[in-house]
Amino acid sequence: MRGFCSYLYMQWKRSRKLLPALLGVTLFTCVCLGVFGTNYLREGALGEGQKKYRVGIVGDTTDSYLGFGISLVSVMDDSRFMVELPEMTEEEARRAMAEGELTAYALIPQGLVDSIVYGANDRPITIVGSTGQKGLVGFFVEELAEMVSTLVVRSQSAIFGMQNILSAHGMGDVWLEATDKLNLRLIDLVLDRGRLLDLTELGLAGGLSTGGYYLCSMLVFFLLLAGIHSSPLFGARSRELMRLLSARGIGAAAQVAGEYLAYLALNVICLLGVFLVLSPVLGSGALPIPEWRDGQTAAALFWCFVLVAAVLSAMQFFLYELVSGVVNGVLLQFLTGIGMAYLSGCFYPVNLFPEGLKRLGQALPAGVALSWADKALTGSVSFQAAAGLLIYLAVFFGGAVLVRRCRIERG
Amino acid sequence: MKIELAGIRKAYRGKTVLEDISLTAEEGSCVGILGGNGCGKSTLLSILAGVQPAQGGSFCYDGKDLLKDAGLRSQVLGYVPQADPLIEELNAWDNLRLWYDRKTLRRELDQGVLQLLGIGSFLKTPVRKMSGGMKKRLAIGCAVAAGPKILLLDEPSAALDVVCKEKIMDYFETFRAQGGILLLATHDMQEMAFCSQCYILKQGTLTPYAYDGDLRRLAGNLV
Repeated sequence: MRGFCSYLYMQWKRSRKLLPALLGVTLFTCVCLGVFGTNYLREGALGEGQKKYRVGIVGDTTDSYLGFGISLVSVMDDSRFMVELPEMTEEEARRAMAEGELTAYALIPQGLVDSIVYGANDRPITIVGSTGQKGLVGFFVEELAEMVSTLVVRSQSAIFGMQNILSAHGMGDVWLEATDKLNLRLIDLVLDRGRLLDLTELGLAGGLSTGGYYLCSMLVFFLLLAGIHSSPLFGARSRELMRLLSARGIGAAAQVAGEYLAYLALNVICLLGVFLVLSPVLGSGALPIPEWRDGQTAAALFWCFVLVAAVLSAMQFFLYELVSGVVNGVLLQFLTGIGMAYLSGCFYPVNLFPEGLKRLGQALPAGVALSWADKALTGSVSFQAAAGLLIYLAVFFGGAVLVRRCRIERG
Repeated sequence: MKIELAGIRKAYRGKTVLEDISLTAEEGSCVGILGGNGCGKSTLLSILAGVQPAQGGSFCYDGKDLLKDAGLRSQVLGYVPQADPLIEELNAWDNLRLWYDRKTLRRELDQGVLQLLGIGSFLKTPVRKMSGGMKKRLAIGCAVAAGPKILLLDEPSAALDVVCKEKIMDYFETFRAQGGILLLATHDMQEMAFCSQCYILKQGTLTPYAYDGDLRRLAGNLV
């Protein structure tokens, strides 16, 4: 036991030499994320100036109804915050798509309106997207196609159908007035559709607000990347020392425990630094996170993240055990950290992913950590996530001990 | 007191590295293990130190098998591997503290083995700033923390300057005089001359060799 305590103390002495640099990096990361987060989450950031999608309108838009409809959608409809509908030639549209300036374009065929007037409806609008377009963009393009189809094709059909019925019943003298009324009614319905329902935001995952979700995911991401800036700790380990310690009774498990605890202490101190910066910032309301109530939330979340830090530190430790050399270690940490952060929903909520990826992301250590943290932020406890984290902790620790034992015995 | 190695065997992936290694050494003796690169000298020492398992054989001290008794082994045996087993980021004091309690360390630095090795002069120097000689002396200092009766050293004076080598040899002299048993894996002529008995390790087997300073004859035997 004395040997283990001495080893743990020496590892702590070794680790703490890195502490000032790590705290500096942590502070810098906090400031960067804070500035980004404040700008992103501040009210109105998703307003008119932030159009995300540009969908080109290509082809025959000379019909007054069609032109009027497009103009209404681009200028007055709620969708104007999300979409821009510039008119252009097909060549311009293709070029813009190739350069990534355009999400898709809608090709309106020659004589579309005439085809609808005569009831043929045989010239569909073609939506052209880029190859392999999936996810949100694909979904949006489908929605747009549906919208154009409803607004343009069905409303036109209704108007011309009404004119035919009125003529057939000898009411041809009132059809101009009736058309105007129907048009106004249609426009009214379309432009007013935002008022058809009240949208209550249930949050991105686990009932969290956007701010709350990204607070948790950024903290998980920060811990995922901790393995990179701690690389100097893992570069200069003497294999001879490992073997000698083993011969003197400090075996693989005790060695791993000593090194891991020192490394974990380092990460927990950095995490504490993050919370010391974060707490007053969130307390002042600079970042709109409704789940953040007071210092109690900060304390609860900090302790929740200590468990997350324990698991992710064990994972990083295990990865450094697997490879030899700092460069390989850093590369592995980076790829694992970024990949896991992406799949587990640190950048985009996992709900946006296909079912298979979503399940994988939620089962990964970062995914389990995120669901554990999400619950903690809302003031509840997920025992399932806690069990998952403890299992991961045991697996990574056990894995590191096994690899260390092989290293010692192989020489 | 004496040590007895009997029938030590080791194979890696079907290839025999050590076969029936046996020798005896009395207290106050120094045994030199000579051999070409990769012949298994370091493997033999690491097996005796308990770092690697043997596939057979025994290493007895005072009638007790040190390969099976880890507790006794850590009391009576010190091991200095070829690469220095030190923590690079820490200084000499911290590295020694891993093996010594504070009180013993102060005593040894004042009038014991650490003073003999001259470690007090670079106590606060970080290992990464030390010379090869300093590191080797520190590694020996760490290895002898438990006051061992047997010291296993893997090429202890390789690439050291004359002054460092002299300091280390002085310490070996004292260790032997106190009844300790030294087991050296070496290529160094001065160390070979210092040994009371030498063995050549070749193709996994150990053969007694009377070193007389004739390098040409030695080289002929090693090939």
